[in-house]
Amino acid sequence: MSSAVDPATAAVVKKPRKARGAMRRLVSDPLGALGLGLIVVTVLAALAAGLLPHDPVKLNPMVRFAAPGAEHWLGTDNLGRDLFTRMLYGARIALVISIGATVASLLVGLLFGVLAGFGPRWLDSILLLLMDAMKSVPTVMLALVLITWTGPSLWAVVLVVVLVNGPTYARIVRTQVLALRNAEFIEAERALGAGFLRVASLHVVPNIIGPLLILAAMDIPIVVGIEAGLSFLGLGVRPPTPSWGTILFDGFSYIRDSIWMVVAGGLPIVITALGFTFLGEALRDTFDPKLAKR
Amino acid sequence: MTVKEMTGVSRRGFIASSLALGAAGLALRGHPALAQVSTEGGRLRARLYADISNLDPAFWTSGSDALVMECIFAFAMQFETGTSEFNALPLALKALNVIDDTHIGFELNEGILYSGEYGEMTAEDAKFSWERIADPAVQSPYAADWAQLDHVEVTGRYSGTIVLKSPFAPLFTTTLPATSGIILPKAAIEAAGGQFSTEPPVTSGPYRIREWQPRTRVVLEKNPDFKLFDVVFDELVLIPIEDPKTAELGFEAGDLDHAQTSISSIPRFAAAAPNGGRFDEFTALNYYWLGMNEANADLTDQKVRRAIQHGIARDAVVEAAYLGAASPAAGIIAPGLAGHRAENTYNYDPDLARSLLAEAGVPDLNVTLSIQQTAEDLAAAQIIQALLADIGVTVQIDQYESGSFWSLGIEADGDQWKSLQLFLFSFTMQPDPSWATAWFTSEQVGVWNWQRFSNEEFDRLNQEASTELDTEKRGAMYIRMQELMEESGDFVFLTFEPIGTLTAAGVMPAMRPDGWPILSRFTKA
Repeated sequence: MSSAVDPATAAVVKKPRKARGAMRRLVSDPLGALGLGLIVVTVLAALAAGLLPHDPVKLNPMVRFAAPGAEHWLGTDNLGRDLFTRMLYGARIALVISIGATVASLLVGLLFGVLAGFGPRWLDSILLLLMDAMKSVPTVMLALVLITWTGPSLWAVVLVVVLVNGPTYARIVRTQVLALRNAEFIEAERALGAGFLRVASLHVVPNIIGPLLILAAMDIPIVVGIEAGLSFLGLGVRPPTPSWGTILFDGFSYIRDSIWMVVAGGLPIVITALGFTFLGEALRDTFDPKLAKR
Repeated sequence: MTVKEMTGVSRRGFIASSLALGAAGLALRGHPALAQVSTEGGRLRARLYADISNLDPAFWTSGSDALVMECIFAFAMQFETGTSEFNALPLALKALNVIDDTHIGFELNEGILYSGEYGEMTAEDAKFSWERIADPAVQSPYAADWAQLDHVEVTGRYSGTIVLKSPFAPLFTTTLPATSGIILPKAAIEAAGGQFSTEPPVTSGPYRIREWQPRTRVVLEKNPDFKLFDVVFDELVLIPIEDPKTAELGFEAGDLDHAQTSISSIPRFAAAAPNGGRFDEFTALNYYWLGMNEANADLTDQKVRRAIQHGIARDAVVEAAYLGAASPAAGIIAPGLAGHRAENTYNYDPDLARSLLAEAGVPDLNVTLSIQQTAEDLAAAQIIQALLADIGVTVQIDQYESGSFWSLGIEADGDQWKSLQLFLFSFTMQPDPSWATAWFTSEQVGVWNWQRFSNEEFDRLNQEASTELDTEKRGAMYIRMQELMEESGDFVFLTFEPIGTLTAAGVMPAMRPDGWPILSRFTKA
């Protein structure tokens, strides 16, 4: 049977061993290990938020601007809320939005990219036009328009990220699909009567997903930044939900009264951004040895 | 901008810039002479709290508009600066002569030139400008400023008589010394199609507009034809900065020569003004309140609105928002003015609030609270949110930048007024109680009366109080009007916002008693 010579299938068969090797290389790379470590810390912090004794939204103006101490490890904000607790709850928002929005962007990009790459020329042209049009709109302006229209919310932030990142993924996917669509193993599958869905899902996507995942990992800090930025501007999560962006806004507003809000909002953004960036770069080095030598 | 491009800026660029700014900020703290540098060459840089949106005396919308208008138009009268009491002096007007309670003679200064080809300011222009605002067909939101105007009689090229239908107390306090007293030539307004917004067809003031970059800056240059007083600075650069905390940082970094501070920063700056500059605190007329749109389906029941009133501890809100720099208010007329109210007719009573909600049949109410993106509003809103949660009302806070916020309740700007529920609002005003109440009449519903409060007694009293010349009687009328506002449930009066201003070393500010800067009269120290 022809599937015996199908390189994609062979790749799928060899995947577990390859993946283990890749993980070993990733962890042995100091940058990758550090990135992974920072991400693990962030994830654990988000998970542990619920174990803390303080309520992240409970106001206690009597202890506003308290300095760090045994009761409040990072002090309190202008409304007397525990900053350490808010910082950890902020991690939940940041991770959920950044990972959720990146996955959604990836799926949207895959769908439109595959359609553009495999579809007829007119569909490719229309989708290409749409992608380029979306990419030409400045992110902040797009966010302002969308959020004015929908109102600030978590979903609005996700929508902004999908509209900003989706076309980037779609363009990459389209290029990869165009390169693959005439490959021998794809033509062989088609000759055997495989339909579009089967070819796309079993043979094309597995061959292009690797680079996309690396890109996605490196995009997560950007999404964290977008979420924090929009929340800083009052366009993201609504008060009193803790977000690193809203904590930073408070910190910026009351920096003369206490610096700890800036620390609680800024430090985790730096840690998360570094974590995902290091991980992404290590992933790229792992899966693309040519780049690793540069 | 693509995401990739944004990445570079937002991650590495941001960190690098922040570090650089931080280092610069530390360096500037010990550099008191820096602010003086900015005034060399005659440039004064000041904060606008919002961008300009309309400079037409009949249709202006914000204090920023009024601030710029005072620079580009020769006001009929202008308040004296540097005094503790309001004292309006003639400016474009040379003299005023009270013939009787309803006839006021006036004479214009000769030689006030308009820009362009519009020649000299005349009494005909005064007649046109003042009657234009009063004309119901024009639909000016400031028609109340000329509510008692019958007509203006022109008796000479520069002289005339203001003929009133009945005595009008605010004429000398808030009409002639404010935007409604501005005189413009008929030909210019007609050439502009009857009204204008951000591009005045004509100017006559100490400055003229050289450049306006929306949301970035307004640059004014000295008008060489202006002779009514000496203008010191050649150029005014007015920078729209919505958040007062940002303005403070801008001042401290040496980017501004004059800025109004946030209220919560007043205690800190009162202790020590930065950069060798000066800090001044004023008893402001601005009033700050929480409004409720009674036309919204969730708030039509007065019991619900009264429940919200009883559920809000005003002192806690004011304390959290202003960090002890302001006190709770019982009304909208500031201390020192006729009609100032010292006490409310209700107290914070969460139990009563819960029972009112139960009576209204809405134990689980969800409402939105619309605010501007400022630290004070955000702090106040979160306290209100927590207090109302205690009585079973869930509040969702919606933050808006100023441009969007200021159109939320205006019918002419769309249907969003229908979904408007609770909002935090502050109005600037002129030193007459009529300016506080004028915005809450039935005529103002959907214009500035976002509560859509409508009360016949209030409207009648508002009319009568403006023609009452006995201060005591007038005060009693205004107190009753505030009681009516409170009884409607539409208002939670919060505070009168004190005003703090920072002025750079080397600059001598010219301030009205309420902290309003007359930028064209700023001089070098």
